[in-house]
Order: sequence, then C-alpha cells, then structure tokens
Amino acid sequence: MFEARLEENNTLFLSGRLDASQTNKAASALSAIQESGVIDFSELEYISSAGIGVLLAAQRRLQDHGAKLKLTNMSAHIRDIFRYAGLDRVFEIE
Amino acid sequence: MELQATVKKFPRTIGALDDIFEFLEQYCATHNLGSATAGTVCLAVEEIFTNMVKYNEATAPNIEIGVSLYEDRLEVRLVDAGVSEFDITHVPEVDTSQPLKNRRPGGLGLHLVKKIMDRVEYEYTDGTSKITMIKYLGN
Repeated sequence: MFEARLEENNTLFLSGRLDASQTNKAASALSAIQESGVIDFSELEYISSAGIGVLLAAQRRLQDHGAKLKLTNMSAHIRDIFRYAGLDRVFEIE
Repeated sequence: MELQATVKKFPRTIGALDDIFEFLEQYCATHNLGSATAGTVCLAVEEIFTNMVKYNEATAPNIEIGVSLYEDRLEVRLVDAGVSEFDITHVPEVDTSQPLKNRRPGGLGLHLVKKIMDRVEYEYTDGTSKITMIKYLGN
C-alpha cells in the first residue's frame, strides 16, 4: 500500500511501499509540487529504482525552473539505497 | 547444506509484485531472517522481476521465483523461460557520480542489486534465463 498526501508548506508525505506498481500514483502526487518542496519519508517503508525514477523526474522538472526537492526523515536503509545510487549528490537529504 | 527451499510461479505482470513481496516476507519471517534481510530480498527480486517483465520477449506466462536457505546464506532465483540471452552480470556499471542532467534512465535497478546482494550469477540454457542472487547471513 502506497499513499502520498500534500500538506502545508509544499510538503509531500509518502507512506507505505513505493514500488514499480505505484509509480503512476507517485508521479501524480509529485506533479502537484510546482516550486521547491519537501518530501517527508518518515512513513515510507520501501522504495525501489522505479520509485527513485519518479523522484528524479520531478527533481529534473523542478530544476529546469530553478527549484528543487529536499528529502527528509529517511530511514537508515532507504538512506543507504540513495547513497548506493549516488543520489546524495542529486538531492538535499536531511 | 540446503536447509529449506521453496518455489512459486508468478504471472508476468507488475501487478504480481504484492504477491511476490508476501511470498518473500513470509519465507523470511518463517525462518527468522529479520526485516532487514526481507527488505533487501524484496528489493533485489523486484528489480530483476520488473526487468524481466519489461524487457524479455517471453513465451511463458509465468516467472518462477525460488528461495533456498543454507546455513550461511540465502539464495534467490528467478527463472524465465522462452527468452533471449541477456547476461545481467555483464551490463556496464552506472556512473553514480554524474550530476542529474547527465544521468540517463535505466541501469539503476541492476546497480542496486549488485550493491545490496553479495553475489549475482547468470545462467542461460535452452532459452531459459536463470538469475541467482546470494546474500550471506550476518552481513
């Protein structure tokens, strides 16, 4: 089960499992972010390369307009996945 | 010595992922392998399974997933019949040092598999691809 909800301050909360079957839902949620925003990972249990691809597409779209995504509250194992993919250089992660 | 093995076939569709995760998590829970190992195995299997669904022009409707537990390791196999040969162990490495604008889609999933698993093997016999991923326990 994957859910995404946009709250105040352009913060998108992700929860559950962002796998290859959930990319359309994730892309739809991310398309609502039109300026710099925050993605909160505190309730996200799992992400695969398909989910990462959706985040990369959103970051690319925002960077074209001088904006960017900041990723917060990642679990240790999801942070490892981002590090293995070299994405700690692509996203601001805190 | 192999302690416990199980095999199941899943339909060739991304929609099978939930059933695959349930199968793998149940196996890991039954054998007290821990949630970290279960998460690692789910990620590795998703990456290989989705590649097979997207890129293999297969004749078989199902992809077989097998899990075997040994004293020192867990082995996960994905078997896809009626496909062309594609040795994933010889795919060029993704350059993860590149900035976003220079990154090209594709290859990240296999890169992650090689990072999170201890060994990946590929065999091709009579039109059947078999990918075996090994995770040593305690690592």
